[in-house]
This record gives sequence, C-alpha cells and structure tokens, in this order.
Amino acid sequence: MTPFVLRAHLRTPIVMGGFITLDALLMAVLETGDVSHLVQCHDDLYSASSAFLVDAATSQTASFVASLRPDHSPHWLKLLQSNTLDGDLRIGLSRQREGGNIINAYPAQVARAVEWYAIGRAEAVLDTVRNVPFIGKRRASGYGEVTHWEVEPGELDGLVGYGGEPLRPIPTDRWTHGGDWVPIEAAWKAPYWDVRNRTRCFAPSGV
Amino acid sequence: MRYAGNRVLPTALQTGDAVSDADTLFGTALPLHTGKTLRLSSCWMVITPSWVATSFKTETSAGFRHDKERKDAILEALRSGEPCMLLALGKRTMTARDLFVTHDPRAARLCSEGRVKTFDATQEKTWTS
Repeated sequence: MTPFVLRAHLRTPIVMGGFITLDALLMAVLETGDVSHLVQCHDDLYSASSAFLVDAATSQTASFVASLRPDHSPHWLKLLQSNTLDGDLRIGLSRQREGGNIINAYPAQVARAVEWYAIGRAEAVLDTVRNVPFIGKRRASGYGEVTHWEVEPGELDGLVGYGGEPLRPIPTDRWTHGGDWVPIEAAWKAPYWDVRNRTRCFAPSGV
Repeated sequence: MRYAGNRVLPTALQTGDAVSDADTLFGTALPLHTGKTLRLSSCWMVITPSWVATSFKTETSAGFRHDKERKDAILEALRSGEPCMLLALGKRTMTARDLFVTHDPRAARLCSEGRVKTFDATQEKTWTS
C-alpha cells in the first residue's frame, strides 16, 4: 500500500454535508463496512482523509421544497389504537396544518475538483469509484456531478497534513502530532451515522 | 443522559442505552413542576457535568437551574472549560443524532432539530464583556 491522491473532477457544484472520508465513500460504493483491503487501517482508523475542495471558487445556497404530508407511522398507530374510541387514526386538521411545503437550504460549493489523500491500493480504489457519477448530497438534483476520476502518487498519509493539521476526524487520544487544534465531537469510524461512534476528535476545519 | 436526561426520564422508560434513552426522552411527555406533563420542546437547555440550566419547567427533584437567562448560561458553560451541550429546542422532535458535545468555545455547537450551528464563541462581543 502506498500514499496516493484520489481526485474527482466536478461538472456541477457539490453539496458536502460532513467530512466525506474516502473510506466512507468506498464503503458506500461497495456496500460494505470494511474496506481495509483497499485502504490502510489501524484499530478502525483508516489512513484516508476527508474530502477537500480543489480551486474552490464560490459557494451558493441550493434551496429545495419538500412537501410534507403528515401521516402516522405504523409504530404510532399501534400506540394510538388503544386511545381511540371509533378507530379513526387520521391526523386531525389542526395538526395537518403543521405539514405542507417546507424549504431546505444546502450550501453548495463551486470547485474544480474534490480530492482525498490516503494510503492504500491506488489503482484498486480508482477501479472502485470509476463509475460513480455523483458525490455529496442532492445528487439526484444534479449536484456533485463527476466528469472523471483520477489517481496519482501522493505524499500524505491521509491523517496529517503538511501543516500538521488533521485531515480527517481523529480521536484526540490517538492524536500524537501536537498543535493547537480545536476539538469537536465527530464520528471517526464507520458507521459514521451511528451516534455511538462519535467522540472528542480533531478534525479538518471549515467542514 | 447521565447529567440531565436520566433525571427527568421516568425510571421505567430507561434502558441504560444512552442513545435509545435520548430518543425516548424527546418523544415522551415529562413531568413538570406544575404536576402536568409536557413533551420536551420549545425551550433551551445547557448541560454541563456540574450543572444543568433550562427554561423547561421541570420538577425540582431534577435539580436543574432555572435562575439563568439563556445567553448567560451558555456563556458560563463555555467559559468553564468543561464539555457542555447547548440545546435550542423548537416544536419538532429532536433525536439523539442531533446532539453534539461542545469541547471548546472556539467550536461551540448549538444543537437544534436536524441541524447544528457551529460558531466561535470567543469571537462574540459577549465573550470579553
């Protein structure tokens, strides 16, 4: 396994919610929770950085309307059943007014590319992501479209940058590089959505 | 849950798993000091290992502080240097995934439903005053 840089050239702005670490991207593509055959991993911590923008030009707000149609989930239907006399489980008119159209706004970044730094099998990683057409959030709306992927030899280990800064969320008790970095609570290992995997970490700023 | 949630969530509903208990907490009507019950919403809460301040009218047995304004409570928690959790609850139901601990005032995290606002509290005008 060798250091490499993976780069995704973008056609459209990208909506990045969170760190989008390379190991998380590979896990999503392969639908697995273990990509240690592609990227170096020590005690659940992958040598794979977060996504970084290349030549970021500007940002814009991408707003979308979501139409909410209030309805009880099956779980609540079971709970409500015992409290109804006539078996009517519909949501009342007053509560329905809380539904309707709502606007969700996402920050979209305009950049030439997105890149990751990692230690692993570069060509195998490229083969894995080669056919990924979109990355980030709101992909179905056209955001984060990738024109092509490329990989090249790198120097960074995916954990620490040239300035000694963290390149991905790393638990503070496993950080040995010093510096006055701001600790935040973040998920540092997969599954990243699981609250139980959050801890006090040093992480890249501005994400 | 250890410093705040377990004090207001009825014992019968506690499972010992902090994540599922937190989800239960935000979806359950909790006892107020008035004797009524109300879902935890439309209020603010500042949680530190030493003290908890909130605008939610909990029972006195919970031991929460009600003597502070939201701004003062946040400032005191951030200046203490202890990890803290800052909650701004609206009408929508929070979930455990909406909760983030603040470890450093330079990255204070104000948790709300489905979104977390991160800001540098040391750059606020109120920090030095």
